[in-house]
Amino acid sequence: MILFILASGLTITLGLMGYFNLAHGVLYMFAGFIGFSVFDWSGSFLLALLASTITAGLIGLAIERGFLQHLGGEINNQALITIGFLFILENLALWIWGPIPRDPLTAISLGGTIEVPFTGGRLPIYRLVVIFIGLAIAMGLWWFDKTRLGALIRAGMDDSQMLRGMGINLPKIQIGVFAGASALAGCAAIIAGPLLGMNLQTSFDILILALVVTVVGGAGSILGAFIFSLAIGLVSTFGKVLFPEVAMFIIYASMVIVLVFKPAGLLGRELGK
Amino acid sequence: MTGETRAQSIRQLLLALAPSTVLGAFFITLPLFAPMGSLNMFIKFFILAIFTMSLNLLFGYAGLFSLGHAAFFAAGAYATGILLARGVIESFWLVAPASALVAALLASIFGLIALRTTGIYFLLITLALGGLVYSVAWKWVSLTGGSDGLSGIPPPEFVFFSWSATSTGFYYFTFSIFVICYLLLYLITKSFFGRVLIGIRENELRMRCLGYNTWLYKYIAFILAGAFAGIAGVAFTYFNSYVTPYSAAIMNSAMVMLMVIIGGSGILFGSVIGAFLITFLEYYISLFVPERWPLIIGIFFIAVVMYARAGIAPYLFKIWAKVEQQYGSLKG
Repeated sequence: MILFILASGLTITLGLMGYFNLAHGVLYMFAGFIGFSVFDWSGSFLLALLASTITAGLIGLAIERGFLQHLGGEINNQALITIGFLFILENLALWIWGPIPRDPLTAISLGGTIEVPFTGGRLPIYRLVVIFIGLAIAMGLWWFDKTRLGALIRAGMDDSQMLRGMGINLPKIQIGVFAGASALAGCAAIIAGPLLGMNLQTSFDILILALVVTVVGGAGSILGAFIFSLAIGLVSTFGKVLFPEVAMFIIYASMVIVLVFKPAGLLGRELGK
Repeated sequence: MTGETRAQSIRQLLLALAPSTVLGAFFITLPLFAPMGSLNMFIKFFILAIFTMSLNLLFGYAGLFSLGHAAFFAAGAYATGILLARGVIESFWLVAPASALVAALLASIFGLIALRTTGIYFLLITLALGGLVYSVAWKWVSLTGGSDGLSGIPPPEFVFFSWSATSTGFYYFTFSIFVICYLLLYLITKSFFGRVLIGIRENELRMRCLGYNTWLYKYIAFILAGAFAGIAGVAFTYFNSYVTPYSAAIMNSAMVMLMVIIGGSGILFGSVIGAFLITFLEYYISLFVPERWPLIIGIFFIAVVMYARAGIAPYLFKIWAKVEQQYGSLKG
């Protein structure tokens, strides 16, 4: 589910805006650390969530507004610029918070378990909460995709000139979408906080996972991101336990195979170049 | 009158040869006056320059933006490391060609896969293929040594100069490899083949309509680039006497792409400049603030893409053309 929240952000930028954002993972990490610090200071989980989401959104805004917008849709340059941000934010995080990984967040309000009916096992409440948040975001995005604004964004991807000609302020919409998608990364970081903790190495692992989900599911497809984040999440979680040697290999290989045989992804639509 | 034109042509010839002569003389005499630490920097520069030029062939000439080029660098590096650390064969003359061949073979497989796609999908698929090699280097512990990599690799031993183990000897060793690779790539890029690649970069459809098998040209360029990256990897393993999975990392691919662009893509000599600039900066910045290097390189990435997409080489060539114009003519 956390993977879904992350990948949905990436799939929106890549599939609906044609932006290739390699800094998505580092946004997750950087905003996550901010959220953790806020949590240390205030002790409030919601405040941390808010801070992290807003930080990621603002950084995304700055990246889009200041840089990506001026590149005119050149994918190569977008990749390089966002790699630049990956280096910068990762090093800044190392500078500010040091190399020590953070333990998972612990808050009293998040503890407790619930009995699973029929099986007799117990499940932490928080995990259920995460699943519900993920579902809610999925529904929200799915609904958003169907609104007039969602249609405008998709139209902007297909024929931006026509849309501009019709008097629609496309750059403004794109800024909003990019910031929103980035904010999802920050949001995911704190929602994952109590389960995974946070460390400097995550930024890259998370980016790869999200990228694979996006590619396999099909860029721009919320449904694809939803299904395949569950699938990839399962492969990477169980894979690490059952066959640790090849888990990473399988994930990369699935990306290669999908790109060769169905580049648009299993549930996506063809990207413009 | 004829004497005048002849004097002028001799003058122009001398002027045309001047830069390479000066550079050559500088690099040959360098070990005489350079301090030991900086000599290692120059060795690294030669190796990275080969690596950068190989990617330039692919991106600058054929127009294929690959984010997985480190895979071939790592293939060469690991092939050398495995052959030597396991003591399979020891002679440099066998290990180096074998390793370059491994890289070329890997490129011939990856090329088949990656060249089925174009545009953003090519970028994504090379990224994934690079990740594939990285995960193998990281996880196949019995072969690659996992995260520790392979260490204790002996320096190359030559029959005719046993001093290759010393830093100076190794300097000349990498310098000669660099010069050979540069000349080879120079010939490739200036050849008919190189011109067709440029044609493909500019307008692939037109080249196809003219009857060129563009796929085959791109495929050969991909393999050649892989082989040269492998050679750089071989030299890198000998230089460090160890190999680590980092050599296959996507960051390594991104770094070499930065060097191509900063120097000037599509200009072979630009890659030499780009590699020099980055190695030089890394060396000096690491002397003062090693922990801030990624921050600075990140800013570099952004600055280059925003403001210097054409690279440095075109400016240098422009200045040089002016110099030539001024002093090449008889009156100057």
